[in-house]
Amino acid sequence: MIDTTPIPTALLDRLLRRVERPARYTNAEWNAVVRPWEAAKVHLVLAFADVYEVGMSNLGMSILYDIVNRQPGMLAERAYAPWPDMAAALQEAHLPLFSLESRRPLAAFDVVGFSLGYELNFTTMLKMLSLARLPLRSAERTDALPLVIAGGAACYNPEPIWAFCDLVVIGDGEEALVELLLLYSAYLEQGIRANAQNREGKTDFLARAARLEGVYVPEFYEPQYSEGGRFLGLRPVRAGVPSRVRSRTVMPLPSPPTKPVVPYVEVVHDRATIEVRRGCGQGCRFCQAGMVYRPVRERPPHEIIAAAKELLLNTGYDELGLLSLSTCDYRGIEKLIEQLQAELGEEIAISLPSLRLDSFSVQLAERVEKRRRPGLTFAPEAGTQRLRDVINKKVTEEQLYEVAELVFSRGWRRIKLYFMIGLPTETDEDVYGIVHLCRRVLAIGRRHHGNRASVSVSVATFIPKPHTPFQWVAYIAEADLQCRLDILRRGLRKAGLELSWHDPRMSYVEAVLARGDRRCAAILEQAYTMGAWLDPWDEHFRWQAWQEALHAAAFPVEDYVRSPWPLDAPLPWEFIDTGVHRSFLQREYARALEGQLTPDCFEQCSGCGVSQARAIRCWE
Amino acid sequence: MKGHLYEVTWARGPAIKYISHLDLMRTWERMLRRARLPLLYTQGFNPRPRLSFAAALPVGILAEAELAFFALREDVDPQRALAALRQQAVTGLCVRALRSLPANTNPPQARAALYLVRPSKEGLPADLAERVHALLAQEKLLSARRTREGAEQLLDLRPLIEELHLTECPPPSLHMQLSLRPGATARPEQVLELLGLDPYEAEITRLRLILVGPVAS
Repeated sequence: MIDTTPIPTALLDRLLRRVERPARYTNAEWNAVVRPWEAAKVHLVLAFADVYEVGMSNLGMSILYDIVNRQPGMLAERAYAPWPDMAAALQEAHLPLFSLESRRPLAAFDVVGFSLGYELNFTTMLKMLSLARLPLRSAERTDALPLVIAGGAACYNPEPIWAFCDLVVIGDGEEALVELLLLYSAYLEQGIRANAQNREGKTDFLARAARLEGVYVPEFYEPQYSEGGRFLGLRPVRAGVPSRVRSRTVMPLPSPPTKPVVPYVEVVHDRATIEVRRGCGQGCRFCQAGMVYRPVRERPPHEIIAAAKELLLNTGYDELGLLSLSTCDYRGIEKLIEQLQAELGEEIAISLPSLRLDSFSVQLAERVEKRRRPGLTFAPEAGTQRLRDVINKKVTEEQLYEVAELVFSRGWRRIKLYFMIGLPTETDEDVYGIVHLCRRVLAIGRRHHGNRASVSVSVATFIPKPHTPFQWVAYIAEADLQCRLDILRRGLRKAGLELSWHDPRMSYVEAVLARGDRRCAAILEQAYTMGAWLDPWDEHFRWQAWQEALHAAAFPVEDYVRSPWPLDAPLPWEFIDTGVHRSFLQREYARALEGQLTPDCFEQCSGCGVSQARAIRCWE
Repeated sequence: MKGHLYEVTWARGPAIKYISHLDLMRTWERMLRRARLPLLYTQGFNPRPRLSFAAALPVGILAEAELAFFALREDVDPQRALAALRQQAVTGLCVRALRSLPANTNPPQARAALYLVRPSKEGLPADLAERVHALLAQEKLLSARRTREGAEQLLDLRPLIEELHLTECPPPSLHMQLSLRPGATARPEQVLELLGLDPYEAEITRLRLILVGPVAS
């Protein structure tokens, strides 16, 4: 029998007094929903594979929590990865990982739903399963144990985690999750959890679940490999399951949550958030989100304004974030901001998470910057015009200088610039281009603010991601990466310039997992066993564990990641149909190599295939 | 403080005893905004509501009568403000009382606090009365504490213990009045350690604050 009793407060108290930031584990936040356990037919725990502060800033979690808790007969609670001190304390006290709301062990829930933002969260999911005392592999979890499912942006290539999840939701989760819970509640009513012998009941449920749009049941598919270990394809091995899984797209956007949980501890984004738009039509060729969340869906202004008012009243926040991949692209953004400011009053700050590189955006930022942040952030992504054309980032050097001029002249003293290195066709010259741009931007700043001007430069390593025009491209060679980082370190060693870069070892792991196939599951298991989890955290990243796991892999990882893939080769994630055609991605890749720009969806349709696939018009 | 000044007395229950003081301040700000009170903000680039506390409340300690002060742009009936705040109070935070203060009063600071320490399951040790007696007989009580930078610092706690005694009424418990002045603050846990008690095993409640000077009423 599974123990479903809440962990006694007195027992927990002893741990909480000894760990850092105990408030992460105590619930009782404003707007937290504690539904009566017995009254619910299906109990879901939304498990975020990173710590509380990151998870509480994730809008997806908030949306799903809200939707599920509004369904009759359903209950959703939350769980986050504990910080290592708490994880150790739990293990020492022989206590399992528990949910925040009712403090019940994760195993007490019918469904554990993991939210996976990106590939470096995978091992944390394994750690959480293990802290919950659940077997890592689905095949080893009987009907008596919770169904383990996953969703989130990292699931557009679910193959590395295929062995751990009973099913994976691909795409928007709002509808699919509720449908799944509804379907599963019928099995619960028939007493599925009484069966601790095998997982026949789950298999039966999964066969039905696999027919829902956006639901992928890994065990019903089998990969084929050539003798040399080349991936040949994935084929269904059970009758009635689709050969391709179509990702889920909700249209129009469901109404936004207006009573989100308000954390006590300061989290990454400590403000009220409204998603104003999902998807992005700019067509940057490296960007997975811009390709998979198509078409662009905008929330009408009246809905945003009404929700914003409610949201602020219900939370007491003094800041409202307008969230999207590119908020400045929202049609009528100026008018929206004007109306929001009029409706919300001047004590409420409005924040735009991402700024487009043009003067329009700076003017918008100026309008909303009540609390003057020290600077503004932009992403030119590449250092030369040639390379920006390759990646379809429609920004010119002149534009950047104009923007810098405007930003510094309006009183800001700091500009933050995002770049990538390792982009396809990149040479040292492109990286010298970054140095050149940053130095010139600083020179502009100095004209306005003297030595008080600064430019901070954040450099990420380009990682080829599935479902993008660059999915065939090789990950940068280590020697080139080190050489280009050196160019930046030397070129940007100057007062007023601040360079930071992603740990190349983390990027490498991300690159392996991003395009990994099922053979990565063993790597994940191995790395986890060697102590890897909370990989996005510098202080916890265990490179040695990863090195050993990658070394022990059943295929030559180095070669897999660092060689270009043939354009006609079958890809491990191609069984997922996002609506965007392979031919479009290939065409975009070819245009990239020719340095040809492709216009924004809003200006001109580039024929990616989504409008036909979904039988919709992208811009109504 | 400018504007219409109010003093609010509040208590902290077990549900939120792990919330840090900084987080409690932000919680109060949000409660005040949710209560739709016409808050007075500070001037400048980063306007904050005019809100202050008589003393910081350390993590893990319950409280019976903490004091917070806030300023409003308009004169609001204290009873109405109290009702509005109670509706918006987070779990475990009890808004006990609210009154308006005369204009131009400076919000007072606490100089000491009275604590009640309830024993754990095992109860207080039999010789605690002697231990208390012995402790108070010392001239100096050096206690090590870690500064923010991680260095160890020795602090003489003896002058900071203004009162320390056992109450007999069951269950027996420990009362202590400790100084809270800047740079001269003793924490009840430190005193418990000096008495040879495990501070993690006791329930500590701050009963009330003793303010610097009288507040004009």
